Amino acid sequence: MKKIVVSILTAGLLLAFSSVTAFAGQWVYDNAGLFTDEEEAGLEELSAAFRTDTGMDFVILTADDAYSSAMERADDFYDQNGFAADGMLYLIDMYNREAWISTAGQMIYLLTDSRIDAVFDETNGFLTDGAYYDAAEGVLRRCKEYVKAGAPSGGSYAYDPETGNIVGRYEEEKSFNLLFIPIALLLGGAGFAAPFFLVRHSYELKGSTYRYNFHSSGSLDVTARTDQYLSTTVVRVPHPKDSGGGGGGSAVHTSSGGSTHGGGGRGF
Amino acid sequence: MSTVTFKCPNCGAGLLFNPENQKFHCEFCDSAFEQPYLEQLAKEEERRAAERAKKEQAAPESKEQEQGGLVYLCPSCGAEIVTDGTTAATFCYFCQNPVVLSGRLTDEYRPDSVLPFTVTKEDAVERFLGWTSKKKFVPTGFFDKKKISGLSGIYYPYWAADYQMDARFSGTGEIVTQISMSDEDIITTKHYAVAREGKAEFRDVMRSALKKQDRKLGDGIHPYRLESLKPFSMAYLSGFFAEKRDIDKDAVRPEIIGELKEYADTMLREDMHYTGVSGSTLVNPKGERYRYVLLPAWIVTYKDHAGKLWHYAMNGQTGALCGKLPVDKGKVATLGAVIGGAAAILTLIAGWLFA
Repeated sequence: MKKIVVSILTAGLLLAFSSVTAFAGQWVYDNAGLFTDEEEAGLEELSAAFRTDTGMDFVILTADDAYSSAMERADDFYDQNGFAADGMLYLIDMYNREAWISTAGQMIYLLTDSRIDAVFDETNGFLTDGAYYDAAEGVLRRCKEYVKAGAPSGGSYAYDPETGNIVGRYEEEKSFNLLFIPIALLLGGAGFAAPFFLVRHSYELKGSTYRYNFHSSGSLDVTARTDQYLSTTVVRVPHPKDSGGGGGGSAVHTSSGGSTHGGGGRGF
Repeated sequence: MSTVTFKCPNCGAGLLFNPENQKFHCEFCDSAFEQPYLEQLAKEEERRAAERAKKEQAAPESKEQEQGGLVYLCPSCGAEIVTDGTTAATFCYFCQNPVVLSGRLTDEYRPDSVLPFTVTKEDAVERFLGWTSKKKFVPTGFFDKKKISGLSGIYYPYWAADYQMDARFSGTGEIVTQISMSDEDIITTKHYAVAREGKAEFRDVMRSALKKQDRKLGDGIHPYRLESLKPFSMAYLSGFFAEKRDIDKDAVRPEIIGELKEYADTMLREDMHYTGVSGSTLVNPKGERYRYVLLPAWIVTYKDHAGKLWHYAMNGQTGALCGKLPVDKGKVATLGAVIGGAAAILTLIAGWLFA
């Protein structure tokens, strides 16, 4: 009980500090009763940290009642509970015996199909063994790493799996690029120094001496020309091999609520 | 040696050359005289001066001083005039009459031509003030009109050289072509033996003929339009300072030929159409003409509050100005801070927009 109080206090504090949040913090919905209280509190804490660190929601849902499919259950739950536009839901669906990751917004581009596969490769073993907490904790940790790493280098895109058409491309979030700080310092320094050089040049007679204009005051008539061919040399330079860029794609679909989700699942 | 003051035939006061109408002007009785009239007068004066000089050799009036300066007697008031070794025209410090040291400008030291002043003193002061007011980084209050009005007009000695020369370039050239194939670039270089011969002519190559002249300041106000050169007459110097040359043409010849070789080399290379050329040019002077000319400049010597001297020169024909200006570092730093700050802020904004 004490732990719950502490975790609620922590979550409350974190929420108070994160101005972007309007959502009252619950991310773990253990409807199937797979976690102990301590485990649930721990996951809640991790989800809260996920939210503060990334600005995205990481929702954990367990269920064992009947539903049309794991995908629909995950998408609908995310859509209907007022989570952030960017985020994901990890569903452990005991009824369908399937783990599902549903992604929304920017998370679609961060968790590409191949990354979701990798996450399941890593965590589905826990589900088979009944170690549900370890599975959820592993998914969360791995996904957080992916978010921190950003979209795969080479670009990330969303596509319709039925037609193969690309329906969206990842755009880097407009956050401040730290690289610009040294550039700003450099340009600022150059801007500061420029007047000194210019003034020095025009005030202190640097390089302002008169040059004789030999084109207007002189002339030259060429009286003899020799251009005798001597030899030819040929050099062949092979082109550098092109290394194609990486990147990755995410299959997307539209949920019954009308919003777009990416994601994938795997049975256990 | 002897001294001459060109005197007004009407009243006997000293005559000054007026750059505005190119006539000789008597400030005293307001008479103006054309140049040919003075020419005659000048010849007369020179002849008389030469006669006096012969007598002086028996009993020299002037005596060599320790620093190489010389003492002359003012032909108007008899006061002593102390001069530099190269002074050819000055003013008597006592009676302010213009004095031409005619003995300094005879025989080999007689200039071939003189370019008379066309910028008047009033013009010069105005141009100078206009120039300094445009220079925003000069410390406030550095220039004041009173000090600038003390500027003096000086004729400086120069060598003007004309050359005809044969020039010959020999070396190698290459033409490089590059063909881009699917998997490689083929670079083909054709090598040639290249030679060019030519006849070159250069007119009016200038060299200062005065050792003490600041080369940078002196060259900074070039070029002069030498087509306005007049045959030398001492009368032109009346009312100005003048320096006689102390550099022989033999001393400037190697430097001039070296410079012309560079020009000939450049011009010969302009006749070649290669990707790259290496080689060198030899020149063989066929004809040369050296003229010893006096060119006009207005000179301002300016002492700042710290006692440091600043020199400014203005072309006495074109009005072109040259000289180091003092810089108010605070003013520059302020501008620098504004530009630097703006650059930094814009970059940071760009950092938000294009992250």
